[in-house]
Amino acid sequence: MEPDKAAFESLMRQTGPMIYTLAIRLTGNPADGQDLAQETFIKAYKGFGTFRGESAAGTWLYRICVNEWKNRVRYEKRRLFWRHVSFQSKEKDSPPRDLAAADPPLDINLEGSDRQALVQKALGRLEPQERAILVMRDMEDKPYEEISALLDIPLGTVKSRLARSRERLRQLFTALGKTAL
Amino acid sequence: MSETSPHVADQLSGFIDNQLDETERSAVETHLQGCEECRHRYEELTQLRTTLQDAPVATPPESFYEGVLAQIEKPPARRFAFSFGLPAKALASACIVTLGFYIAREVRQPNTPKASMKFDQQKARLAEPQPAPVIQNSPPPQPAVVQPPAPPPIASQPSSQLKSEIAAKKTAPPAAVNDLSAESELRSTVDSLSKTQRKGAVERNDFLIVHPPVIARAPSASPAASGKATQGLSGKSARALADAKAKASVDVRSVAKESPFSSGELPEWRGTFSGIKTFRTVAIRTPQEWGRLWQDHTGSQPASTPPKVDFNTYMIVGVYAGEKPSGGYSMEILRTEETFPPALIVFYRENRPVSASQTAVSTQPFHLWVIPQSTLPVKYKKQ
Repeated sequence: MEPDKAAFESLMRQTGPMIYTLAIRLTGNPADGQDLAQETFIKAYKGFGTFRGESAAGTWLYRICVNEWKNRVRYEKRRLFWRHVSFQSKEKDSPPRDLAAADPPLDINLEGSDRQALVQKALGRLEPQERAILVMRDMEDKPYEEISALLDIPLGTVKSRLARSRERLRQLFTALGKTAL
Repeated sequence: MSETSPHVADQLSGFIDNQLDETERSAVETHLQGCEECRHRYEELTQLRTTLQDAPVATPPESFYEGVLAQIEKPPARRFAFSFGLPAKALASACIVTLGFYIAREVRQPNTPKASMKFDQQKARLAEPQPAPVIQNSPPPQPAVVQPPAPPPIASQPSSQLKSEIAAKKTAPPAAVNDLSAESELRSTVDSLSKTQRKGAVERNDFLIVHPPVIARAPSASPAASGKATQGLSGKSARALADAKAKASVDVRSVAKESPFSSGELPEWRGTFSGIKTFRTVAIRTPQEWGRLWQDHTGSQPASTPPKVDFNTYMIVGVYAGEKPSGGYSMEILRTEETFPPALIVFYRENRPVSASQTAVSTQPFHLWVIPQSTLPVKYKKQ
């Protein structure tokens, strides 16, 4: 069934800021975030014809975005692994690419506050899984159970990973603050 | 609680999210009151959380929406790149399994339990009632002059006895099966003369055939075939064999056809007369099966000793055409082929008379092949 383009465009414009922001937060930088958000809507359009509205459109799109982000993280891990084991790699002496390190952090474009900028910078240096759980819990205010379902991890893992990620963010923020001073 | 009591850093996250039970919560609160380090850490964590909650929402530019709309309005591109999806993986797995199967089969030892099971099936098949051989049901057209004696040890057969038997056979009328046994013995005797040479062949090929049977009988000998028959024998043995054939008018063409395996080093038996008068395909894997078939094949009583075959290494496949109304018919195994699903296919052909003038005598063409032992089920395919 051909999806209704007009209805989809309306939904996209309505939920665009939410998904766009989520994507930038998950990836840690605007360029990757925009790419992820666009891919989310393209994927959503393919399934829009069968979307029956059993869940809120926002929740549906949120899940698509997180799943697409998980796919990218898995791909990036494989790519980094093979680049490390490859003897032909020309970049073997360079450090592995940090998904958040190549582009300026989100706060530079969005927030003039020094503190917010520093927090976003520290957030961008976390591991993707650590960043994702902080985004969902502390920025998006998702309950533990929903995070467990979205990330496909047990509830206990949500708690332990959240505690570890918060502590890692605190250490990074402190280190960056000392450097900035 | 003093500052030296265990810190509560691990519980601060759950404390912030109100995930602790009452006991844990009161313990953390008490600790925070007395521990400067933990209290400072708690304050940092709550401030970070507040900062994260206050992070602004990004607004996508118009180009973002335009990019999405352009993508969804574009017709789906045809993908030519090979995708390593599930079908490709399944195909690759099937190839690996197939390859592994063939490799495993190459190194598999004979006489496995699976093979024994097939032997039993083959035994049951051979035990089925067969038409009685000629010698039992119908007497020879004329009284036989030469009665087949029990097979003597090959090495002890004197050549003088051979000569006398050849002379006796020269005067004997053509008899159906008595001659077959006599010829078999005759050939055994001739072979004993070339014992040394044959022993060399045994060592070379690890093949324990003592002598190929002479079962077929034809009106005239074929020089070309006879030449092939003497291949591998010493000059003396070849002359003796040629002499014996000439005197006894025995055609050994049937045993001389070059085997497809390594230049005829694996023998075969092919002829036009047999005690087996119905169509039958055989796959012989044990000496017992071989003895039973040999008895049916020669139709002799008591049973003559079948040629020795090392069934640890080899097996025999064969086809019997059944009774044919005249000469000119022949059976011919063309090749064997291993297939997947696992099976050994024996391709054979039934040749019909090419001319109308054929001897008006019943024939029972057959062809037996010695091949390397295989535990695969044997199937036959006519071509």
